[in-house]
Amino acid sequence: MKSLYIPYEKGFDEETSTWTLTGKDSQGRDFGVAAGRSIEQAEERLKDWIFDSLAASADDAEDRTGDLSSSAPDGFPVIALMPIDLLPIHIRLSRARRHLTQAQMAERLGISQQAYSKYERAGANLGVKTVHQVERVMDEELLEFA
Amino acid sequence: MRGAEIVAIAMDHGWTDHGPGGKHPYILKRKGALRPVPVRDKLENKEEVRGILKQLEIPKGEWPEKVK
Repeated sequence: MKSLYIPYEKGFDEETSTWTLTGKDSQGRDFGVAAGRSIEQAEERLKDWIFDSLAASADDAEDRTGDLSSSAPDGFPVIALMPIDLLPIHIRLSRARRHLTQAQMAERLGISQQAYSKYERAGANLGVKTVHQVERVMDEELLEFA
Repeated sequence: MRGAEIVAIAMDHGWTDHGPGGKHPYILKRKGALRPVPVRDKLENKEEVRGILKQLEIPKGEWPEKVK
């Protein structure tokens, strides 16, 4: 798995003193919008938007990571999604494709459903051992993406 | 403007809410749509609202007056 990128356009609203960022997919279509009091806050929110949209697609066993750009386009500010950011999406996608619930995954891993749900959340910090355990249950190499 | 107002408009256009997501209380989906559209509850400015309405493919004539 390589890093993927969302270039964005930005605008400043003087009435509210807030920035608005509009992400662009690999075909230049709008992909996400977020606003914040600083560009950093708006970037964080746009990244959350992209993650939640990708996760919602993954719940339907649909991989939309191809909508992101595989290289950072020149002339645009970008948000990068690193392999560690994308791993929870791939775990979610892999589970959905097997028609497994989080509870079923948790049972197979011998952990609580609450603990398992964290594996699929944005910012999940999974160790190699944990990923290998998930791979065994899925019978799929997830680290090949990472 | 609150996200709930956008969700109400979206539902009139065939979107359904599958939220909450990780950071968004609303996750809107519609069959045939390009992709799911997450919506926060507190929206910061008119441009953010317009951006969401565009991605929900809501005709401009049906946008709330305050963001037209």
